Amino acid sequence: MASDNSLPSKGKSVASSQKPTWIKSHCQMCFNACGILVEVKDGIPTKILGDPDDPNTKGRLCARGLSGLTKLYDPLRVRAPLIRTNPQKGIGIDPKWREASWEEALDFVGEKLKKVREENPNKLIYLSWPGEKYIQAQAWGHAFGTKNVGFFFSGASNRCANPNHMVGMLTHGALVEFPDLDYCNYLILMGTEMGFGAHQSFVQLAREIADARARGMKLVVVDPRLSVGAGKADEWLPIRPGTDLALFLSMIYLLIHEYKVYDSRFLKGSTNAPYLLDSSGHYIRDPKTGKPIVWDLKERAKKPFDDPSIKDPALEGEYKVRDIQCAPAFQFLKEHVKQYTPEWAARVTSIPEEQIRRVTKELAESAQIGAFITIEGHEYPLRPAAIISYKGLQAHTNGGIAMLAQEIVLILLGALDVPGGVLSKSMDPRRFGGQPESLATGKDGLIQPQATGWQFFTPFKFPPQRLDLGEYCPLAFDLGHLVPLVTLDPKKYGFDYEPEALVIYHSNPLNNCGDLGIMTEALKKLELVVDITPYLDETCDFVDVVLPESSYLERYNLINFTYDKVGLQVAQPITTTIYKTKEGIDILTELAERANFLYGKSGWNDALNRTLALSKPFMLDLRQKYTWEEILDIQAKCHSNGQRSLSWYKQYGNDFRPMMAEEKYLIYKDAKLPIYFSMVKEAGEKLEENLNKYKIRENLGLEFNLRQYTAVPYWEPIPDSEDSEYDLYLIGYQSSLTTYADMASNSFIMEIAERDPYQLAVTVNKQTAQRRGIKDGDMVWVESRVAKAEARVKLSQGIHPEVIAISGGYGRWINYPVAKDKGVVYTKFFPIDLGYSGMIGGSMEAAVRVRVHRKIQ
Amino acid sequence: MRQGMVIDLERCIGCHACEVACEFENGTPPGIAWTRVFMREDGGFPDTRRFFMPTLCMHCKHPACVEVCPTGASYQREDGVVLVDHDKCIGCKACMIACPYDARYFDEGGDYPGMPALTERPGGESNKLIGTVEKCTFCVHRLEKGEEPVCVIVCPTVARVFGDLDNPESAVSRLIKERHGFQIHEELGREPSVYYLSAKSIMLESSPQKDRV
Repeated sequence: MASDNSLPSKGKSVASSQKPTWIKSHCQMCFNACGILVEVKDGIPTKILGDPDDPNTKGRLCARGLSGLTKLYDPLRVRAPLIRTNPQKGIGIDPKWREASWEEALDFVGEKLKKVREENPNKLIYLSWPGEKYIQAQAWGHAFGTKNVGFFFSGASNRCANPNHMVGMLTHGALVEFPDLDYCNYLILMGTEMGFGAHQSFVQLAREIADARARGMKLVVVDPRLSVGAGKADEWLPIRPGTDLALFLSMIYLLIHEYKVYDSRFLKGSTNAPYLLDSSGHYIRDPKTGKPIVWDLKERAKKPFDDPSIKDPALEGEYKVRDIQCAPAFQFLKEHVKQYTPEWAARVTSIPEEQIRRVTKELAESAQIGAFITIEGHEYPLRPAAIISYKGLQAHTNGGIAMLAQEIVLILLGALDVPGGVLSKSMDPRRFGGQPESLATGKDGLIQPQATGWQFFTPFKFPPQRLDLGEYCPLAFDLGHLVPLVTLDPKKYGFDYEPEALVIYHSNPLNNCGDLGIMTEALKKLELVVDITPYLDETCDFVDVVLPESSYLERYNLINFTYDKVGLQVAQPITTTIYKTKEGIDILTELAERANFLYGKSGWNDALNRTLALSKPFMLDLRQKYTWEEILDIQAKCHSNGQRSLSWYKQYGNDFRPMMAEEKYLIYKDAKLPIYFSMVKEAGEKLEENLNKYKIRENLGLEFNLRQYTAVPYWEPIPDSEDSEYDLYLIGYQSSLTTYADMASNSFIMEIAERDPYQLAVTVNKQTAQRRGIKDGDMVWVESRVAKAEARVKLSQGIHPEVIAISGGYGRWINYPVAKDKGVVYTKFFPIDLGYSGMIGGSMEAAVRVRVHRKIQ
Repeated sequence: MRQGMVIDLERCIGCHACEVACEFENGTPPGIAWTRVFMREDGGFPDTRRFFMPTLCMHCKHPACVEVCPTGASYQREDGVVLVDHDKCIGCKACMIACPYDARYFDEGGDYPGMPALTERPGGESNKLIGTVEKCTFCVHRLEKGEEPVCVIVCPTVARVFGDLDNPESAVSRLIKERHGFQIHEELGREPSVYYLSAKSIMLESSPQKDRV
């Protein structure tokens, strides 16, 4: 049993004549939950390896996971609750912490939260993102009653792919999408290092993509930078940032107009392509049932879309129904994309027209439209072509529109949720140990999007409650980056309250959001900032109370983060806590008790029951207080019908089984997928009605990009693309060294980073640099309209001439020698403004205009 | 039986898992990693390609290091593994000069900042390695237990394969045959036990940019 006093000391290695024990757990260096085995000698954890019993990783592990012990022994660890004594807050200003007992700290915070909750729960902003238990943790905010829960005061908007979540879910229930690598023959990766350094299931996908390529899958990578994937791909398309939308629009043009290659059978049978639209783009509806109507070519008659007698619904043509001129949605789309020729797209994207045509043709041919395959005794369409995009494509103001266009390309090819195509990882009970669910049919016969704990179509409310302007932006999961801006002047946005408190659980917003001026002023304005964290970080300069969470090697968890397995995986303490720290969920429980929302209906226990999909006899009693360990034991028993307890998982690690074919493919059953995003258009119309009704423009002067609420994608450039003063784009990118993780004290990773020519530098195109008299290794100023920083240049042939790139995870100013002032943080260059925000999904513009000049020595 | 390794450059994504695993397994001090990953970029925008190349001690069949060692500290086992007896090594560094693969390191001690010493090194508390030259051992302490070197078992893309080069049916032998495995600096005649499989993204053109990453 290790305690502070018996930590192994420097210079003296842990020698032991005893055989070491190995404990199964799952890694939490990012949030992919790879199985690990941790060696323990004399009660001291000494080494981490992968767990061969993890069927996803097969015992393999990345550099972050292997260096995870740095998180246990991290000198920046908080050893007891800390309360600030210095009222002055600012970057680099010592908070002058004093250590407090847990009782004092919890009572202090709990009392304040209780007061806030009684006045107006929305006054609490709850920024909660603890990796593999973020859904559970966010439920605490819902139980508290605040609408300000999620990535608020941070933003999945700039570093992640909110459009993927929203549009993916509206299209086919996909929170995140994955290629079916068993069968895929042609994979296009756009703005993602899936399998090459980042994204979900990295270790698993690294192997699966390598295997697929070895059997012949072609890989095309679209990225402004020669990413790891691009450097190894069969083809690299170096795209101008924020123009992937144009590429997709011209792909749709090519498929429909030139190649005439699309899956008619699928479009007619499983999408709303045949639904008839009037000239304003609304469905013609059956007067009796209100159902959208299609035109049956065989019987020359209109019929409701789900009429079983339909023989052949028209995709094209113009018809008259009840004297209304109408056309099928497919026809509407076809007319609309006429303007998006590959010649046009080549100008916008800077990708040669020949390449756009050839890649589209290859993708279409690889899709093998019309082919079938039998798997596990069932016949499925075989469509071995996939497109996967993520942050690089989506973190733009037009990212949501680009995502609509992407899904349309895949729908035209019939490549969603079929062998070889794009699979969906949904937000169903499978995550917590339950079984996968197929999609239900919703409005107008389209799929019913559903996700635990998340809301589609935020209802309008005035005065608004969500500080990310969610009520004004109903299709954004979160515009968390706007929260600090709105916090500074809520009245300006129509709010009738001022936020007072911020509880942070596993995030470092100062390092991961945007404009530091806005962030620091907003943090200072709040009366109470509480941080549940194992480590001090840059944000702590503005925190009032630090409640130390235990490191991941001292914690429990049960989760399924995979994309293709059913079951659960455990994390367990490798050692008892070294310092006076607690499990984060237990901290939340203590606070909930003190603030009076632990017990009873709608309380924290109730929220956990719903989130974890618990049911009798294994669910939380609303009158009892549980530890996280006890909750997990109940979760384990519930989802195994009493067969497995937490102890079982501690011994065996996981009970994963592969998803069956019928659980993976055609999960939409009889529901239809949207090629025409009527629900997006409707959300926009409703929003416009409400904005007019409450005179938001007149009274508050607020403008919202209503055009983005479109049923068909259209071209819209990202902001400032014509800015000649700030004439280059700065993008951030991920690396396997730092993605999703905090490396401030990780000397193993930092040692590698310091040697790498790119990690701590700013990558600049060689020709671009030469034209400006910039040489390899020069120090330059990189400047956006909101930030300026020095950086060392690394010239490269592997980056678009108009783009410079900075790797994420560096530029830390936390006072720790391993990482302090090494490299540059790119997030601080982002402006925080409604004008730099995308409405569909909720994105933040992450290609910021900068200028670069040599630093005069 | 001859221990050997095949590294598939098509599969390697330069993630450094092997390097970190080796450091923890063998307790090397900062600045020393018995396996290293190089990166090479070729071509001109937009026809740029990149590949990664892990290197380590080649456990040569005819090791230069053993030839030059004045004390006999560097020696070779029957199964081809080349090792250093740290009791005999006087740290003269002749082997470091002789090795064509830069695979040997002089140990001056030191710990990773913020980290206790977690790995038992030969000699326990007195750490015999300090003041001597060290290198990759093919994790011989694991081989003895029937386990493969850690760099092999952690690699996410399964880029490394380990086995008996003398057995024509072993995975390493079959890969070398089927994929035309090559050795680095074959012309020096040292006969490394480490073979490489080529990658599609290797362009051997002018203006290369290669770096240890």
